[in-house]
Amino acid sequence: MNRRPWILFLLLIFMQVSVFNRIQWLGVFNPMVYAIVLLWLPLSWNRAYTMLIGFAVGWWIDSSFQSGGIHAMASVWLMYFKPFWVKFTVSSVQLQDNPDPDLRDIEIRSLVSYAGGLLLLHHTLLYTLEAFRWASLPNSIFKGSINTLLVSGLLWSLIQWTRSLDSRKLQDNRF
Amino acid sequence: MGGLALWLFKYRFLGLFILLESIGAWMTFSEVSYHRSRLNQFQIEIAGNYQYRIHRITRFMGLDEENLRLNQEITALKLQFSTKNVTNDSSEGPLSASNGQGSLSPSQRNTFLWPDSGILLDFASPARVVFCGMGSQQNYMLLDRGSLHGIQPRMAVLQGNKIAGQVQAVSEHFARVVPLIHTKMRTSALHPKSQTVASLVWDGVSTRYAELLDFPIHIPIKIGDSLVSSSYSAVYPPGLRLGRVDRIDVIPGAVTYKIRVVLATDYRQLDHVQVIRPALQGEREKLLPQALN
Repeated sequence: MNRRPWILFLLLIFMQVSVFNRIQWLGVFNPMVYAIVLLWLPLSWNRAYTMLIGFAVGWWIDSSFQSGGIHAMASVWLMYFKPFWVKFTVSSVQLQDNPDPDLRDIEIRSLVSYAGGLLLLHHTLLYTLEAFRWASLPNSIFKGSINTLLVSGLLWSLIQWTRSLDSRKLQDNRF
Repeated sequence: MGGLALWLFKYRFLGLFILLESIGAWMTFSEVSYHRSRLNQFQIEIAGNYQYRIHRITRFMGLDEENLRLNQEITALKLQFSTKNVTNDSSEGPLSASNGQGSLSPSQRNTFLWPDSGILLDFASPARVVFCGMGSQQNYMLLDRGSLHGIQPRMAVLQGNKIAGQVQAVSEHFARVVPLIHTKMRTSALHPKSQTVASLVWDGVSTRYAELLDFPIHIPIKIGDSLVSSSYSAVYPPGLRLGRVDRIDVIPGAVTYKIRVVLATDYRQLDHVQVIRPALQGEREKLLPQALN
């Protein structure tokens, strides 16, 4: 639990409010990087707490951009389905060894389906709620897929970066 | 009680999920005007669709009464309109109201024009067909109006401007009508384009078709030409629709065509009718030999 990059989480939430929500390139690219924080939260925490945290984070984003409660709703969905989804995507052997795997510990194939699936659910739901129109559903799915790719790329970079930071710290401690 | 507590505990996360989603939805709909208006549109759409379906069902169930009411209203409007016409009419002609009034007896002065055709009538009443036989060679219909409502034999039965038949006999509450689909019924038909009169008879085969007899082959007639009642009939006012020419056969050696006519009245769908009597019918029939009546 202590291995989670907590400062990075706070930074990502503030970055979402200050930077990423202002990105509306071509009306398609609007990544929701705060979803990374929700995704990275420990699985061992009580599910009710994680849902409340998801709601609180979403509410913070909503209140910053006067979007009602759509981010809160999408975040609660993500947090509710996370424990189900991890059982489908991460191998049971790995979950037996470590029931609360950090994203950096999950092998790449499982990570793609685990993180990618939840990010796609979150983004698609969010854009669908934002458009709130059946006719816009294909567009919401498209927009959700594009932004899922972007956020997944960012998540992969952050994982690599924090890994390198951890290994550097380890080396410093040795010396 | 313990079971309920266990059940609630089992689904506590689902309950919290639903609660948080509901709060999120409430926040969205209360704070964002776009979502609120979309929700309103959705509600209106759903309610409208629901009401429309209910209305369609109730309308279908109430169609019977509605048709009856409409038929009565049409007749009443025609009477009202025709009364005004009689009051204001200054046109000339043998059957025009102003001209005719002077020659009418006091009992026949209550006449009026039937608006669609300009026919002078002295009686009109709506009625419903309670039976319409179509299975025999000599069919008949029953109407739900009889002598108590003023119906008398030899009145014309119309469906709008289409001839359905003529009243043969009446009881107090019912009237028996001989329709055009009766093999002994012979109706005088006018071909308006050539102003030629022929006889329309039913051949007893199909309720949709009749035959036009005695139409000379030297007079041009085409498929689709309309046929109306002629002024020769004392029962039917002239100009009412009888049918259209459907097929023309030339019989070698014959001096007349064999013409099939599609009848204007569809007896399978006959429900509401009007019973009328042309003005001066009685006076006219007195002059005719009894055999022609």
